[in-house]
Amino acid sequence: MGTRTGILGRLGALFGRQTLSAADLARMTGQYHSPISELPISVTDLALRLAGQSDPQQLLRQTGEWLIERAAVECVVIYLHEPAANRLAKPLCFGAQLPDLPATVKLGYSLYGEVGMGRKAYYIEIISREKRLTPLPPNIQSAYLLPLLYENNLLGVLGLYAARPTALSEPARAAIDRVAALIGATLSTAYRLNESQQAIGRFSRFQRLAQDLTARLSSDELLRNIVEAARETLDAQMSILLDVNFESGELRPIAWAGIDHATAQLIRSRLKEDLKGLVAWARLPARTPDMRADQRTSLATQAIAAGMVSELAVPVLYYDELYGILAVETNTYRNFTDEEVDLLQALAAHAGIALRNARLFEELEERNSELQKANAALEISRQQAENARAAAVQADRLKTEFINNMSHELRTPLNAVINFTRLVADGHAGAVTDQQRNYLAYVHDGGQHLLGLINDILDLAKIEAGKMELRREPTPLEPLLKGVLSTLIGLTKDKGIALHREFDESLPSLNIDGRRIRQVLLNLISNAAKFTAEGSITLRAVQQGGQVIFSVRDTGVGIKPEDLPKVFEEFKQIDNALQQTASGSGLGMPISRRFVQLHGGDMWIESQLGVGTTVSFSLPIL
Amino acid sequence: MTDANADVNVLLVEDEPLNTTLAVAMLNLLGIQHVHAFATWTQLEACLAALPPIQLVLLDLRLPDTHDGYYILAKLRADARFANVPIAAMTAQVMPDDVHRAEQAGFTGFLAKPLNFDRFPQSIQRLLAGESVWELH
Repeated sequence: MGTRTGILGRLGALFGRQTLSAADLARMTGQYHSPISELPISVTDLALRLAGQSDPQQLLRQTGEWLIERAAVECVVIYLHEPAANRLAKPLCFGAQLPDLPATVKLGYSLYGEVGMGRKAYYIEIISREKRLTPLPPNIQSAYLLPLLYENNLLGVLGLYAARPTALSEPARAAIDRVAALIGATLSTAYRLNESQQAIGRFSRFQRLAQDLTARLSSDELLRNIVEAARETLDAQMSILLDVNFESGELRPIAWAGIDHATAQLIRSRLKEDLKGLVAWARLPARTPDMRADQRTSLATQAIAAGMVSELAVPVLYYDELYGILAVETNTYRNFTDEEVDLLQALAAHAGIALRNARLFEELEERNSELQKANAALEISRQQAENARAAAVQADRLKTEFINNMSHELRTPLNAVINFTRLVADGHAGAVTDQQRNYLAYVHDGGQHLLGLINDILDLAKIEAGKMELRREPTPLEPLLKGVLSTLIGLTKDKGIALHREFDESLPSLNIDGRRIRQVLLNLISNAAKFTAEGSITLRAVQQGGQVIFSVRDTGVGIKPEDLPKVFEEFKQIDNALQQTASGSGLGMPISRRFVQLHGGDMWIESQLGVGTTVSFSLPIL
Repeated sequence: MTDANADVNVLLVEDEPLNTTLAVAMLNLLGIQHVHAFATWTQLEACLAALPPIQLVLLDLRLPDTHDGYYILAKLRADARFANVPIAAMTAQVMPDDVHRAEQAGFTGFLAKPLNFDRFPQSIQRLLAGESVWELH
């Protein structure tokens, strides 16, 4: 290695390879003196000129100009090989210009294509005999076409056109061969440099994508970035990402680059159906240089219609889960390389992560929205409950208001009716006949009945509103019971019914609202009187453990078993064979029971038709 | 008893004429001859200074406009001449809330309408004697 200095070292550095043999170099640097111009076509001279040039375009330009200058030819053409498209393209022309030169030449077609394909130089000594070489600069006698190769890889095709017959004679061609070898070597190096620069570019692009993945980009944005990166790094016309729906078997476009929305929407597939569908199904990459000729893509008519020729598709996976496929397509014939497959798969991996994240996010959103829906439903029922409660409160308020007003408005005239009747009946307004007194008693009783009804309704309303307040005080029971009996003695005596008592002074005092319990007892006994034609009514009270049991027993008509439950219902009256018309409000019994319950006791009824009825209630000793 | 009440002056505020007539008649039965009856606070206020010393005030609670029984009670209680005079509500508003409010307002007694014809004389005598009387039914 120590001997490799000067030109040799520079060449070595230029080629960037260790495999270049000493013999190669000797051949390349051999000198040749042009027989016409006497100027040497020195490969060394060219090598020095090209040293350090890494831009392929500049390199070819300098080579072309150098050839025009030194090789005594009229025109130099250099086509470059595009392996992906299997063609020659981007022709450069030096010296005499050839405006009609085809932009691309397919390998195997026309003379340039044949030379590229066969990798053998072709010398045309007398141009008039080879009609296939067009276009031609004027006054050309001979031409020499030769491949630019490096390690048997075709890099391009070089063409020289000469007006002087000797310019491309055998010794000159040998020198030109060496020039071609040098071009091949330097071009290859420049390509590799370019490739590594591209690789660096791709690497930084991947790095950016990786950053995007962790940044708070929306999944749409991220997927757009990925397909755009796929299109750019693979130098494709379009790229598209389709997601897969396993239930329907459909693949739908979700991100694309290089095509518009309407075109993208046409690109659909089904599992197994075409190249994309097969990629999704097999979870393996697939490529085709020509979709038009590939049976697997026979259904991809939309893509073909969009002018696409070659396709590379890879599955988008997250671990073992398939999310879709990523595809790039070109509008020119192209064989995608293994490296390009790897590249697209790397991008697809990014897409996999993005789609996975998006799906997780969607699921989260869905759960969130379900939660919100549930919350909304809860809120609605809460509001309904609140409304119902408010309506109930409102209805309650209106009812209370109504009852208060009714009570007030009825009491005011009743005040006059009841008391003026008494004033007259008692003789304070002059003498009253017996008949007048009787009639006035009817009016008075009617007024009293009405007042009782109002009081009952008020009591019930108070109880229902929870506003019935008991005025409890220690109350001796025996005087209370005696007082009740003395109040009713007149009533029963008139009817010829005996009124018995079964209690004694041993009864305890109870902490009760005496006025209310008196009201209850009066109600029970006057009720009993209504249903009893003959016999007796017995008021009984005994202490039993922690309570006192009161009962009113009559020998009346009794109540039918089916009517018993009605007794404590509001506004229900039991048929009474003894009375033509029902009397009373139908509120006495329900209110009586409520009063007893307010005291912490209970009330019940037993009856036997034709034998009699017993209504009992208990009061706890507090 | 009739003679004992001959010099008693009762102040009555009642907007219903029929009830005024009734109250006067029932008070007369007790021998009370002087009943100063007014339908509104406005009327009463105009004559207040001219009234003789009053031994008992009977106030209806529900009266026209805002000058109801409670308003009049407050006005009278603020007047030195009425500071120690028994003042009873005589009203058809007999719900627990009404009774409670009357207690809180500082009425000496409460006579529910319809008035109890049999107990009325006794209630008035007790009020005149300075007792607190609550006739709720």
